[in-house]
Amino acid sequence: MTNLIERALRFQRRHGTRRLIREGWARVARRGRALFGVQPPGQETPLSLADIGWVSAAELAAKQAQQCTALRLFTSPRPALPRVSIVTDSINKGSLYGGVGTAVILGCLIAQRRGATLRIVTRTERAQPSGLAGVLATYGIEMSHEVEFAFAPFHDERHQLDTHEGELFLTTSWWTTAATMGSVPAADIVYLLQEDERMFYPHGDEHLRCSRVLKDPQLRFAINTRLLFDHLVASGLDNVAHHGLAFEPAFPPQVFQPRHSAGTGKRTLMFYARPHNVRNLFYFGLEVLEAAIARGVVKLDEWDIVFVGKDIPKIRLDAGRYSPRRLENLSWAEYAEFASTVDLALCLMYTPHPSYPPFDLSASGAVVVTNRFGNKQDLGGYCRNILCGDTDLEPMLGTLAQGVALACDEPQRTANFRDRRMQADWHAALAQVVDRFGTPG
Amino acid sequence: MFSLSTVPAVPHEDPWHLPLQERMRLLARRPRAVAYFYEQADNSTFRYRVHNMVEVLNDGEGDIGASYFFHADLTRLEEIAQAAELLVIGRTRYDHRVNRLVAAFRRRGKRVLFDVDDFVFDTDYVHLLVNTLDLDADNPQVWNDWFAYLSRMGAALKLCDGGITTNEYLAARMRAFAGIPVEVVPNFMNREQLALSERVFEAKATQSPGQDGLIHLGYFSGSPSHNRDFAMVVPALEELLEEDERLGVVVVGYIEAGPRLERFGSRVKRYPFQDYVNLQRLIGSVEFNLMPLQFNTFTDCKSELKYFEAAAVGTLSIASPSHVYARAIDHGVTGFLSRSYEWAGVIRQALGRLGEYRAIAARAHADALGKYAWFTQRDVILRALGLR
Repeated sequence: MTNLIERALRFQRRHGTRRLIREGWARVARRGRALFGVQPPGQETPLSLADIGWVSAAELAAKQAQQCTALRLFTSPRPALPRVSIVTDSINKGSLYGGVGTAVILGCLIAQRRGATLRIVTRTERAQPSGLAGVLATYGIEMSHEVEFAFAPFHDERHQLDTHEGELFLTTSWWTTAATMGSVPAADIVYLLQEDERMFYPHGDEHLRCSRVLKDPQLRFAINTRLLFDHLVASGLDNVAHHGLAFEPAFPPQVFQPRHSAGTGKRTLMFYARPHNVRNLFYFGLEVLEAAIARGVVKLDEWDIVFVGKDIPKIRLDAGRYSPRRLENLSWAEYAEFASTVDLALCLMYTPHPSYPPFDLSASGAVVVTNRFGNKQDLGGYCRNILCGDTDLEPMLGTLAQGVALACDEPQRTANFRDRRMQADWHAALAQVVDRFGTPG
Repeated sequence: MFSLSTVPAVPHEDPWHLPLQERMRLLARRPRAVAYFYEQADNSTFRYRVHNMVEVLNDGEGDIGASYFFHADLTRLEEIAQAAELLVIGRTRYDHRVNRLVAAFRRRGKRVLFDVDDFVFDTDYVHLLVNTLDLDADNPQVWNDWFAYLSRMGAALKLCDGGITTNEYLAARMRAFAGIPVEVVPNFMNREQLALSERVFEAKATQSPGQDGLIHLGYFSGSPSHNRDFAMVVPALEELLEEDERLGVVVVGYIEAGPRLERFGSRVKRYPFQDYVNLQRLIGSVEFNLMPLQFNTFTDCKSELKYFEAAAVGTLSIASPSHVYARAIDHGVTGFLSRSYEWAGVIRQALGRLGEYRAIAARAHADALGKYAWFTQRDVILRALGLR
C-alpha cells in the first residue's frame, strides 16, 4: 500500500492531479472489467471466469523491460537544419551533471559541428530547460540554434516525436539505446557508454538484454575513458573496438578548484555514500571507515567525516558514538563548492570505470582513495592524488592510511595536484569524438 | 500591473457583418475593385487577411477599392467576377464552388490570388501539425479532418496564379509547394484596434511597471492549440513565482494555467477569450507578454502579430526566436528573445531592466506603428496584388 501511495504521489508530481485522477479511474475500470468480465466498448468477446488471472506473455515480457519501450517516432520532411537528439532519462536537478552532463555537452558539441539543432528527449521526467543554460554557461558552450525539449515517457503511449532522415540520436544507456533502436536504424545512433552497464544486474534477463544491445554490430559508441573502452574490448565486445571511440572527461578549473575550508580546525573526509547504487560499495565503505576509526587511521579529533550522496541512512560511526554529517541531493554548484573543501575522499566504484567522483574531487585538490577493479589498477596517470586500493579490508585500510598521510602532506599534495594530467576543457576532450560523429555520412 | 481605469472597456461588435447589397456596392464604388473571398467571417484570419485589407484599400481617395464575399454570397458569383478586377481567395478549402469562382474570373482573363497565414496546405506536414497542436492522434477523425483540410487548402492554392502571405519564410513554403509567385503583406492592426491601443499606451505613459506592487507576465492565446507552446514556459514561471513574490501570471484565452501553476493561488489569474479590441486593454495591463513557440517548420511560419499587438499598447514582449520573431524583435531594444532553455534567465534579465521599461516600450511602440499599422500598408498591399 505504501508503495502504491508513493507511486501515486510521484505520478501526481510529474503529471498533475487531473492526470492522476484519470489514470486512477482507468485502472479501477480495468480492474473492474477484469473481475466482472465486462469488456470495454468494441470488444465483443466477453471473458469467461476461466480467462481471469491470465496474462499475455508478450505483455508481461514487455512490462519487465518497459524502459525499453520504443520511442514513438513519425517521419516528417527534412527541415532546413538537420537535428541531433539526445535520449536520456532526465536532465533535472541532481542528474544534469556527471554522466548526464557529459551526454548534454557531447550532444551540444556534435550538433554544433553538424550545423544541426539539438533536441533533448527525456523519458522519466519532463525536462527543466533552465538547467541546460547553466551547463552551457559553466562549460562555455555556445549554441547557434534553438534547443527542443521533448518528453517521451515510456508509460504514456500518446507521446509522438517527429524525426527526419539522417537525424542522429545520441543515447545514454542500454535501455535508451534499445528504445531508440526500436524506431530508428542502429546506424543512426551513437551510444554514449560510461559504464559497463552489464554490471548493473545479476546474471538474468536484464543482463541479457543489456548484453545484446552492447553487442549490436551496427551501433557506434563513444566511451567515457580509455580504461572502460579497453575493459569492454577485453570482455569480448569486438564491435566496440571497431565502432567505438574513447575519450577522457574534462574538469574545467572554473568549476573544480581547491578552496579553503570554513576552518573548524579539522580536515574533511568525504565518503561517497549511495546505498542504492550497489557498485558504490556503501557497506564495504562503512566497514573500512569503522575500522579506520577504531585503529586510529582516521582520528576523529582531527577529521570531520561527511557522507555525500543519496538516501543515506542515519548512521553512527565509532561504535555508535560519532554521527557523520550527511549531504544529500546537492545541486551541482553546492557539490562543486563542497568538493573544493575536501581533504580526503573515499569513493568506491566496483567497476572498471574510474567514475566521476574521484576525478571531481582530485580536480578540486583533494586526495582520493578508490578501489582497483579489473584493468583499473592505477589512476595515478590522471593525478597522483588518486590512490587505488584492493577490495579487502586490510589492503584498503592501508591505502586509506596512505591517503590520510598524503592529505596532510600539503607540499606533496599540492605538487600532485599541479602535475595532474586531466583535461580542463570539454572542447578539447571531445574533439576526436566530435570529429568522428559530428561528420554526417 | 498597470492601471487602465481611464480607458474603460468599449462595447464591441464585429464590424464586418454588412449585408450583401452593401458589400456589392463597395465593389462597384470605384473603377478598379478587388474581391476577397473567405469561407465565413471570423475573428482571426478573416479579420487580418480580409477585413483589414479591404478597410485599407477602401480608405481615402483613389481608384482602387475592395469588398469581401462568402460562400453564401455565390448566388451573385457572375456579378462579382464581372465587377472585380482581381480575386483574392483567403484561406479557403477547395470545393466545387471555389472551382466555379476561380473559373468565373479566369473566363474573363482576370487573375486569382491565394492568401494564407499558416502552413496549412502541404499534407506532408499533417503529422507534424497534429503533434504541434497537441491533438488527439488516437482519434481517426483528427486525421480525416486535417488531411482533408490541408489537401483541400493545397488544391485551392494550386488553382491560383499567385499567393500572398504574412512572412518570407511561409512565402518560400508556398512557392515550393505550388510553384507560383508569392508576395508578403504582414498582418497589421486595423483602425479600431489601433485607436484603443493608442489610448492604452497614453494611459500608461505616466505609470511605472508594477506600480500596484505586482509585475505580471501574460500569456495570450487566440486559439486552443497552444498547450505545448505554453508548456515551454511553465517550468520557468514556476521557478520565478517561487523566487520572486512580486510576480504574477495572467493567462488569457482558451488555455488553462495547469496544475503546476495552480499552487500559486491568486497570483495566477485566468481570463476568458476577449474580443480583439478589448483584448488590447488586457495586454496593456500586464508588464510582459510571453510568446513561447515550439521549434519546427510549422511554428516558424507564424506571424509577428502577438509582438506588435503588445508593442502598440506599450507592453514588452519576450518571445522564442522563431523565424519571424527573431526578425521582428531587436533583443534588449524593442523586446526580448529567449531560447527554450533561457526563459527563466531572460525573464530575470527583463525584470532587471524595469528602469528602462518605458524607453524600451516606446521604441517597440514606434516600431509597431511604423511597420504594422493599417495606415502604412496601402502600398504594400497594392504591390502584392500587382496593382502598383
